[in-house]
Amino acid sequence: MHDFDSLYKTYSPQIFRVCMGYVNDHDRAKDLVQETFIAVWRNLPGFRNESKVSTWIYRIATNHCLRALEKEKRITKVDMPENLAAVEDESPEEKLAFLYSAIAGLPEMERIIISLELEGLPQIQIAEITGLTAVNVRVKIHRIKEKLAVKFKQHGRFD
Amino acid sequence: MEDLDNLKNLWQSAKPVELPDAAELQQDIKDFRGTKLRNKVLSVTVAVLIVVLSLAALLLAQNLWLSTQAAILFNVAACIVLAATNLRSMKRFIGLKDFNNLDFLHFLQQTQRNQIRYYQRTEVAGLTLVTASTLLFPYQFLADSLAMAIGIYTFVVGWILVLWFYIRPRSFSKHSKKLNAEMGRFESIIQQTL
Repeated sequence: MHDFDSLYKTYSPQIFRVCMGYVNDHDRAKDLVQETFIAVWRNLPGFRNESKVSTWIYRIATNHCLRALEKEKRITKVDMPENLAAVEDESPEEKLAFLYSAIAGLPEMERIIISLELEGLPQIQIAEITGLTAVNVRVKIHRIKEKLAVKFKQHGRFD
Repeated sequence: MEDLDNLKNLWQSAKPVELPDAAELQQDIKDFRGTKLRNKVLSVTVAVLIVVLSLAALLLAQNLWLSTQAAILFNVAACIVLAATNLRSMKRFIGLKDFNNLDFLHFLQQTQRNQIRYYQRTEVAGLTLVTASTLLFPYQFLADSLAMAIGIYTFVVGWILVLWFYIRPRSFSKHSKKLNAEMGRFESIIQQTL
């Protein structure tokens, strides 16, 4: 039996990062974390351990992200100027902000996949969350990394 | 940025944001559940109440003309359609399964199709019943006064025409555009999984 408080403490920072990767907006990401844990709290008594609890929570979170479109909330995409000179001595916060912006420019499923990959989830678990095959996930992660590399290079942020 | 392999470290270095603590969240959950279900429960309760009162009136009131009895029955049928639609929608979302993203997208598409069917068929059926009920109900009470009958029926028919030929088409067009746009977006996300 899982305790809601400990699940919330363990997973809310991770879920926040994944939601942030999807929406690139602090307030929207916080709302999505809350919506996710509302669903977790409501469905926890019926959770049958058919999958890992982390897989279950990530599924709920990413489904809420996908549904955020249905609610017509604005997903923050930042148009980044191209061909900037190399950016040096950036703070970690600035680097992270750029990473979020770069991810926000990807298509929806790619945003979810790369956020889960960056979160350190095994690719088999990403496949269980997204409903894709493990092979498809591996191929997609490779392509997404290439896309991100191009973006970083274009903005002088990648050697 | 030195290397893409460092992205993972950078990603996980994000400072924790101020999220509400678990107790605070549970209070929010109780409030959220209340507001979320309130409208659906209210519409089902009102519909059931109208059905009960209408049937009671039908059984207890004497000397009701056939037109009045038919109006009451049409009204009861409209309320049953309303209650059944809301109950089905509540059941569908309460029983939401542990879907992966792909299955969830298909679930959302099905929900959109159901909504379009609701606007195309269920709403038309409900409005037809309400229209019939609204036209038949006053007949018995206005039969003795031609002037009153003309006045009331002019107003009622005018309102029905506005409802059918102005309000409903506008509302249908607005909802259809929104639903079609959403279906297009979900279709595009599903295409990304191929």
